[in-house]
Amino acid sequence: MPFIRSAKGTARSLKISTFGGYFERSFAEHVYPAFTRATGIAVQSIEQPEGAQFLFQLVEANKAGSPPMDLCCTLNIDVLRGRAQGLWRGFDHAKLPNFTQLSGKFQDSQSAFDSVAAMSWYMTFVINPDEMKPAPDSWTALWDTHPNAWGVMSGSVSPILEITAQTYFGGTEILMSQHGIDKVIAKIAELKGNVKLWWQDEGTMQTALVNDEVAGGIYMHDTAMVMVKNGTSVRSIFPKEGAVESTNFWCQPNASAKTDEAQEFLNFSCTPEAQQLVARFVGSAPVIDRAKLNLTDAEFASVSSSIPSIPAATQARFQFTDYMERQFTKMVTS
Amino acid sequence: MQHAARLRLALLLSWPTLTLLGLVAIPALLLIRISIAPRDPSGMWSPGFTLHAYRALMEPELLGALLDSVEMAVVVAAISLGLGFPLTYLITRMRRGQQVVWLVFLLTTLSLSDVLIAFSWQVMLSKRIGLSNVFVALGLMDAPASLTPSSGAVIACLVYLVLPFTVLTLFPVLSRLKTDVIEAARTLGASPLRAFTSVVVPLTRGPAMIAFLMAAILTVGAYVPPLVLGRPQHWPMAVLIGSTALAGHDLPRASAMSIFLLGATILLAILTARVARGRRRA
Repeated sequence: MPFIRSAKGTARSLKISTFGGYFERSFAEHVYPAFTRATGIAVQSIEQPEGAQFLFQLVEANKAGSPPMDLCCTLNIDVLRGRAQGLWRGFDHAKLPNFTQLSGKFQDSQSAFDSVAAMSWYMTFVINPDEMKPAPDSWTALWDTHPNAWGVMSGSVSPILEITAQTYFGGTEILMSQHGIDKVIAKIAELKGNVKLWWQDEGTMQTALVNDEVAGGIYMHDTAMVMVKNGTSVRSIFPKEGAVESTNFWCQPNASAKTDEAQEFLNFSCTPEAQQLVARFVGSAPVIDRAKLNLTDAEFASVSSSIPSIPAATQARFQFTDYMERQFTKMVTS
Repeated sequence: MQHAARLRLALLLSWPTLTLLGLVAIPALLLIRISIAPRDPSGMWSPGFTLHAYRALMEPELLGALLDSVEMAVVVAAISLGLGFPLTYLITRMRRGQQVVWLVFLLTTLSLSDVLIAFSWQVMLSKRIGLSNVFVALGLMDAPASLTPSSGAVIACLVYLVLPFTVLTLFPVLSRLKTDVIEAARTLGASPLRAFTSVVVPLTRGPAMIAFLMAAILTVGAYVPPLVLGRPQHWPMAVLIGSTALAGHDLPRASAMSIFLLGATILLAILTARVARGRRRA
């Protein structure tokens, strides 16, 4: 019966989405091919939108039974938002033997096993070394006398909340109450004379850095490293209090039917080989301890640091987003 | 038979109205619905009714942002009318070929996104390669300086964005304006200024007010230029609506703020129409 193909011949495939642009291209060129070579599962790479609309649209598509992807790269806060709406499928520990390779903090038992750390990225103290001498090694330099010097991200999403909480209030736990948030925002208000640019879009900050509009500020480490490669005079510093670490997670909308293929990809993503590709070609920080990786010092330094990071206050932001946003706007516009 | 034909004609003619109604009414109703819904921290909004979002509108910084929006709109509309009127007048007096070049040029600027334009202004006003270097070369400034963030930068960028609309609105009227009437006024002894205020202005007041209103309405919702080029103290309502909805995940509050801004815009339109009509009667 020549017309019936054996199961072995059936092409297995998976649709995976990541944030568009450089990110998506790097995954498609360097990470997915390694996975396909290892498992025979073909990957179709999809760009996913950034911002609030991503989850809004995904929830609706999932309800309709046709999510546009089988796995998506999800911001830590969207993992919680999606979980609250019953969007994600739970995974099976037995199918992910490599899960235990991840750094300890990414193995902590959450209320549901519906997300697997994919990669991290840092918000660091980025400066123009020509204008800031000597280079600062602490976040407290933000509060020194530097009128109109900084570009700082504005709003509830800004890592300045974590930085202030860690530097002046002993940790991000203070953000778990409205009273604590008020205290942190009052401390941030002391920065107003130093901040020239309260940015919401990273392009605005990048333009300001390239054109010497600001002497420094808080910015993404990975983008700053690309700017250095392109000849811009910037330096990305991991202050002694730590840079703010955000993590992206792989999640599966539960209307996707590709359960086994997705778990095979997750298992692959938890290997040192995959994480090395992420560090080398995507420019993101690996979620496996450095000792297990064969990255050179330069390769590791271009994406991460040995100084312990400040973890993003995701739970606080999930619970108090609207309050943080209102109070921040009130502070910055008054 | 005649009745059926008339019905068919009515249906044929009514579809643009119905489409317009559908496209305007349905989103507006949805906006109103969401504005009276409770917030849902994990999603958009939850079923149920509450006036919580409206109660929160009475905060001083929101009223301040609303005033900033209206002030920005009026200033930008006045400047673009002040620049656009003489510019359009000059264009209408040109030869046909030159007119086409100007109009095509103005239309071309409409194809650029406002994001791109705002970023271009950010670079153009920067210390390193910006306009201030030209001013220094001309001896107008001592040293190059950064000209953002400032209200002037926001207004300059917005005038650039709305000027083509002002010119295109005024163009048909000004090109139909007969030079004979101005010449007649001049022959009767009116000074050029007098001829302008007593002949040209009354003849073009209506269209000029429409151009003003259009510029104001386009500006009142401006988002990117004030965000990129302005100080937070002067962020208009649109910027706060954006951050409330996208970063704050508070759609009901953002909807209530939008309705608030919509109300102010309608008020501005009514007021402008009054001014146009009231003066004409006098």
